[in-house]
Amino acid sequence: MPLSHELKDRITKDYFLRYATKRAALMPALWMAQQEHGWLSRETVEEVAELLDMHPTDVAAVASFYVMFNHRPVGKKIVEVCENPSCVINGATETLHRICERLGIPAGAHHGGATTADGEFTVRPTECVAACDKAPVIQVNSRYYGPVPPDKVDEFLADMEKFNVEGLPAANDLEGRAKHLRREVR
Amino acid sequence: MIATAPPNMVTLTIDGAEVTVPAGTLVVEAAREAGIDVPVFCYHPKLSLAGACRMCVCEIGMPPPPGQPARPPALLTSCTTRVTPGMVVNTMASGALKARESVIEFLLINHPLDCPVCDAGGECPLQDNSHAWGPKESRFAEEKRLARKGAPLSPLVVLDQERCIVCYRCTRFMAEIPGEAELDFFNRGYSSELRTINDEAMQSRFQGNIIDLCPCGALTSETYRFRARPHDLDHADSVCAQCPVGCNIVLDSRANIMARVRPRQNESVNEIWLCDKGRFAHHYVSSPERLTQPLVMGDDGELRAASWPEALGTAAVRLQQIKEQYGPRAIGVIGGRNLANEDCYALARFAREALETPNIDHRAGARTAAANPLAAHGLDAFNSTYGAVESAGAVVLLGTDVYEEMPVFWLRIRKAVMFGAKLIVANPRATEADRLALHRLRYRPGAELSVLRGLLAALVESPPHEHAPPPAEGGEGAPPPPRDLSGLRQALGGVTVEDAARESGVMAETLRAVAATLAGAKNPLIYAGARLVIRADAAGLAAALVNLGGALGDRRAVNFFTEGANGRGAELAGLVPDEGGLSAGEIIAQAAEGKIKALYLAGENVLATHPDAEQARRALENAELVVMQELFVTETARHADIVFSATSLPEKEGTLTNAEGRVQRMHSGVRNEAEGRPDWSIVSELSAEMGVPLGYAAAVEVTRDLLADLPAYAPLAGCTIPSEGVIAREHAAEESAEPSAVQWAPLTPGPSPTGARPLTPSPSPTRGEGNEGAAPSAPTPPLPAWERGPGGGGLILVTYSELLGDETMVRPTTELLMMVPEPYVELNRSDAARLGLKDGQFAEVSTHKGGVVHRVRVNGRCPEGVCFVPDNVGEPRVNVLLDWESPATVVQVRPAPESVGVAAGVPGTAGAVAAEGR
Repeated sequence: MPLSHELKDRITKDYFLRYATKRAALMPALWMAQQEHGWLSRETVEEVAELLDMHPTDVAAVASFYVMFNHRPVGKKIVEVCENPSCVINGATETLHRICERLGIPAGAHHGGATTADGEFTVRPTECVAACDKAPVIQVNSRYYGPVPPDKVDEFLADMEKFNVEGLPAANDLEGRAKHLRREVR
Repeated sequence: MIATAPPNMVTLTIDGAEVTVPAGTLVVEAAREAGIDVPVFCYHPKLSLAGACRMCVCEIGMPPPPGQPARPPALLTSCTTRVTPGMVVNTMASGALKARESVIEFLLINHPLDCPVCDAGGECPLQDNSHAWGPKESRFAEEKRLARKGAPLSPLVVLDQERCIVCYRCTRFMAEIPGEAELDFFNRGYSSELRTINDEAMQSRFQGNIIDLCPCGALTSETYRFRARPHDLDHADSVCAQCPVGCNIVLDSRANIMARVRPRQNESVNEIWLCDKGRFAHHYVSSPERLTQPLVMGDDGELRAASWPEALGTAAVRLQQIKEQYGPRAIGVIGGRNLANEDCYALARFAREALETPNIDHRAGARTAAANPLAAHGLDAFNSTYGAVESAGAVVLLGTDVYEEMPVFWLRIRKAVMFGAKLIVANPRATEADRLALHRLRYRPGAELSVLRGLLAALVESPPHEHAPPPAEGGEGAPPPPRDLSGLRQALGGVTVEDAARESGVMAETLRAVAATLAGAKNPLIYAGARLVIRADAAGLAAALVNLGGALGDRRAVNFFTEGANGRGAELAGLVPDEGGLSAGEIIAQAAEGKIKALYLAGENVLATHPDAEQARRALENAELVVMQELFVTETARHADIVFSATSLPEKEGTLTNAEGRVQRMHSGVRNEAEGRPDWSIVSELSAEMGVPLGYAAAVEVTRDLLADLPAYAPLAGCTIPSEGVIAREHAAEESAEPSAVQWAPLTPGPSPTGARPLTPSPSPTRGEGNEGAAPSAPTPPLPAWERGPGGGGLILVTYSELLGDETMVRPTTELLMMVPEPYVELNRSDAARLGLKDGQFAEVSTHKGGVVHRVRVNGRCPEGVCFVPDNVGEPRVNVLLDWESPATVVQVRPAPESVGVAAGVPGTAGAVAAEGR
């Protein structure tokens, strides 16, 4: 599926004017492309490359540097379990393990994560998300949920049934993003 | 106290010694100036700065500002720090030594230390720097990281990820020098891996260079891997024999078998680069298919091996017979563009003195006698140096795909564009150069002359200003006056920009914009493709080009490219038609009619190179005698009566002259162990056999003679050829430093004599006193019926050579053959849709002469009404479609039956490469 005209327009008419080179608009372009498609496919990478006058390898290499760019299709809900000290001390390892078990996906999935067959969930560990007060904390589509100690996993998954799937506001909509991030799932 | 340095120079202290270098110099370079080698991995003088490896740290201090206490010196990377006045550098400070030791210790943690089986062993900066600067033992007792080993990045380059020290030399080269960022580091930190997108094979024609740049054996050559140790190699300095650029190379051989080719630094020619054809295509030299001894046609019509005396004797007797029976004009000599200067000179002497024929030419398919059409205007065919392009404000590429034709020179043009030169690309089809072009002129095939006329007319409309004279003391000089182009206006004879636009298919406003760009540029340079030299309208093109150069301020801005490894050398050595003699194309045409009775072909496979395969076949069949000097039994050689086994360029001693006219020495890299002889020796013995001894026993005698006798090399008389080569014109430059007075070359009015007719029905060119609607000139000749085809829906065929074709000299290198594109016919989207063809399907391309079946590539490169088929890939070659009598070819393209597509086997294509070597 090709990128939308709106996206291309925003890159060429807005972002190109901000920077000295087209290449400089790469990160917002990739982020917006991911907002549209959920992940960066080969076709998307090529389209971004053409838009920015870059080689597709160059674009793919930059994207590979960041774990928040998805290189495979992801589920509607991206569940990220923090695996840094505060959370691990409070049982995050077991939480991650149980979530995977309940959803029937391989545990210990690495940074790329694993996705359920029905395309509902992608589960992956993450580095510190700066919410130690909620340890062990989970991020669902970039929103905090927690604490989820291992014995609250069932409750968490039940809540997920009701979870309203929506993406983040656009990367340059700082106000909207801040509001969005302040909100919690419940 | 530091001595006052001249302006723009900086004086600093390095290891206690004062050094004065230009401002902006890097500390590592300043140290080198002072004879101090600071170890580096990531730093490379040809690449951007990375500061990635930290190997070059030095202790660098600054004198304190007045009245302030001195601050302690810091450890800085000398490869990213520029000199400042008074700087104090200590390259051997204990802190720096300790830091380097640590860098090495860290690098060796994961480097596998498999030096005994590593190609780089013995010529490896990581080895050398570890030895010189590293710790004597490692504290690392854990397990080393495992990563991809022996993983192909392409059929040519192999990656060992474990050895990689992540210096970014290879990725910086790909992104910066050819501008093809198809290789990059994926992931980060400890997981950094060199990859291409989806692990697809690299496509660049310059990827071999990353093997040279790699400082740790992570990138190795598929063709050289595990074949030799560096200390076992014999080296010979030579010159590349694959294209007219004349890159300097080193031939490395082991036990008299070519092991590899490396670039040799020559800043005037190839700097330190080499294209993949030059680097990898050397296996033909040691190929078992090589012709090992002379062949003579037996009574049974089969070629059989013969001794040298027999072959030479037979050839001499039969050539003599033809000469006596039909006269010397019944003999045609073609060849030389892929031979050394010595061979060309001896061949030219043999043709003139022994055969006494005026029919001599090195330019396959040439239609005109003048090998250098600029000679009529007192100019050489190439009037600048390669290096001059770097100071050009604008560069025009007319009718050439320089990326495929002269790849390493393209790198220099690209460099010029990166530094701000404005690139103007005029070609019937989009080329690699278009990516960087400011203006792209897509003209109708064959309409170069109209494009030039349009540019001239636009310049006459608004002439460029004279160069500003140096301003008078004290005051602002008056703005320089516009250049007087009234003479050019006359020479143009009333052609307007609009006329030219109609004829060429380029919009008038584009022509005006290009003219304005050129008029505003300093030192513009114009390069015209080699195929334009051999066209029937070459003289007209040359006149127009000279006028364009003149209008822009200097006629010497005009340069023609050439074809073959030594096309320029052959031209200067006299392998050109004499007064009244026939060009190469005419020789074949007349041989086909039975008028030329004997063909002497020196390294020229006319069946593949003459632009009419059927006519070339008839020529070979109808000629009473065909004598050849060849490396292989080519399809042409199969028709020969006598084939002499020659030696290849890497086996030869001698000289080559590159496209810019630089004479360069080459030394023999391997000995010919079979009965091959250098071409100069073959012709001189044959000449002696015919009673005209040339008297040469060694190549150096021929070199001496040719430098003394040939007018083109007169300025070089008495000088030796330096290792960087020498251009005779530059050598004599003092005399003619000033541009000669402007003389406007008369322009032939009317459509060019090639019949470079517009390809689509279009208004006939009009011409008059500059008035709108003036009386039309002679109407464009209608296309012959076969060209129009039943529905009249033919496409104009454009053909050109790819850098990598499945040629005799490429085929024995199987790895390179995998990089050769599958034969294809390239179509515009709308033509493809009209013809019912999709990308990847097979199509039959045909004329009344013949047909080929190729896979279709649908893209935006060809304009509507034009199709492209490369002329050096696929069997049969595209010249089976061409008709010598008709300079423009209209082809019919239709879907091929399914079965044909499957049967038309596809030679190796570079597809995805298996990722894991382990």
